[in-house]
Amino acid sequence: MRDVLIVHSQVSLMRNYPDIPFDTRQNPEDAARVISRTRSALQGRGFALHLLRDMSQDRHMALLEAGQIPLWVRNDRGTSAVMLPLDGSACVTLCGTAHVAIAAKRPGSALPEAAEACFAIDDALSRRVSFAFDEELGYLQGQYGQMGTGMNAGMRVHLPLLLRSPQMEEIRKEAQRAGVQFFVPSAGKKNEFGILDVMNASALGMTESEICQLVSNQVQKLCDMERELRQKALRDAPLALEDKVWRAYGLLQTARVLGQEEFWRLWSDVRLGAALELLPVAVDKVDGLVPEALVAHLRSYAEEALTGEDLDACRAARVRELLGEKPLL
Amino acid sequence: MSEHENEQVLCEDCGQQSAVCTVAVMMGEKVMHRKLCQACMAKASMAIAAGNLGQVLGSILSAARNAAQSRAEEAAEEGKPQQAAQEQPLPALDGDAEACPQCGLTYEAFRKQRRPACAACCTAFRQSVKRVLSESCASLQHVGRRPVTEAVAQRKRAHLERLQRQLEEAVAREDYEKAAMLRDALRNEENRGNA
Ligand SMILES: [Zn+2]
Ligand SMILES: [Zn+2]
Repeated sequence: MRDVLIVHSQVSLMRNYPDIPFDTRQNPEDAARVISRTRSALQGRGFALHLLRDMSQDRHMALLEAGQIPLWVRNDRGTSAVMLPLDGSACVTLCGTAHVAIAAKRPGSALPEAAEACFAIDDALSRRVSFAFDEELGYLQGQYGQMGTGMNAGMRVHLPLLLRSPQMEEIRKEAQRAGVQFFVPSAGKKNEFGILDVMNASALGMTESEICQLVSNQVQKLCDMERELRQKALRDAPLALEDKVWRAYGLLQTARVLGQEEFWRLWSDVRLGAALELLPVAVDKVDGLVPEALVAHLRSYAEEALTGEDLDACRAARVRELLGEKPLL
Repeated sequence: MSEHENEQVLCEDCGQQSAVCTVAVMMGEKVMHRKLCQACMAKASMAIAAGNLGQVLGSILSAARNAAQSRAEEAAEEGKPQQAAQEQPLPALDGDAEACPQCGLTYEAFRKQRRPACAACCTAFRQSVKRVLSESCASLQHVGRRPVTEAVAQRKRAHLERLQRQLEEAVAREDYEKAAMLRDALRNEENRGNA
């Protein structure tokens, strides 16, 4: 069953060629070798190669918004390239944090599925090319955090109540000792969107499935704590909670101008209401608003480089459309 | 060689961790590139999607302050000097090569940047690489996936070892017919490997 607290799961596998310096920014010829070698190894497997420098900035940004390039994978407009799969299975970023970064994102709790999608491409590649590998250190990397399996496994969880609780700092330290790191995406004010990214801190000495298990065990613990807080809120202040989520829902359904920060705040409240079944909307539908309501996606949708109020008006319209605007009686 | 000495890039926001990503941040028409560490990157991800540099800077700077603060607090708690775990200086040459045979990075330069520049650096400076890894990894032995060709070679080694064992057992119990068969099989397998 889908755990409604888990927004998405994302896995990346980093690989490097043994004979090319890790950092390809110094020498364009190194980058060209990485790109041509990987491109020919993946020939006929349904990938379209794009050099970031030839791609519009909005298109590049849209890849980041959609998580096709994970936020933790460096990508330089000057030297990096992306190989986009026709079937949407997994995306390959070249000449960034590693020569080859295979990444897949799946909704909900799906680290093993995302990992499998990466493994399929890794297998295909490693039949045609050799990656730097050492019996002891595993897949060799320029970054210590990836040395070993080369794997990063991340889960995005929606924990609006837990993130506001004072125990959070203690929980973070404990998780750190267990080998996972927390990132709180926010846009200034504290934990406003209730989102937490949980990811493994190192990649050596554990198998890929142990890494997935470690992250998802930590996430389960966090979810249990959040659920307890939600039950408590439903018991102690049901009216306040119901009022909060309905207000947010009403605003998303009716706003005519919607800034991005406000969108995220409302999104978080509506997602809470949907997960608690206080609102007549499915969590998946709420999750579907991201990345559609983000800048580059809106510009692509509108086919226009919108800014300022035009952009915010477009966001409001798009959100109303996706959510299904209720006619006002 | 000497061009490697300045290679380590610190995060442009917290100034503490090494930068691992360059993010494109849109400000109106302009795209700014900022080099960030993994932590600052994730903290800023939402604001970056918003395309608002002010927000990004605000959130990253406050995040960095919080991180620095909590690091200081942790260090004070445990009575350790700040960043002890992160930046323990690597010792002078200790069983490692003087330079990477592939890219030429010297040990001295590696010691400063604490980062291998190519795959061959990882083995040339193995002891030091392991020392850094031991700060964050529970075990220093890779387990898990291996390159397909590696995996095939390993299976093959295991198969040859099995045949060799069976051959020795057959000889020991004087089953010469079986031993001859196994010897042929072994020879075939080995020849196939060399072809
Ligand atoms: Zn940083
Ligand atoms: Zn080297």
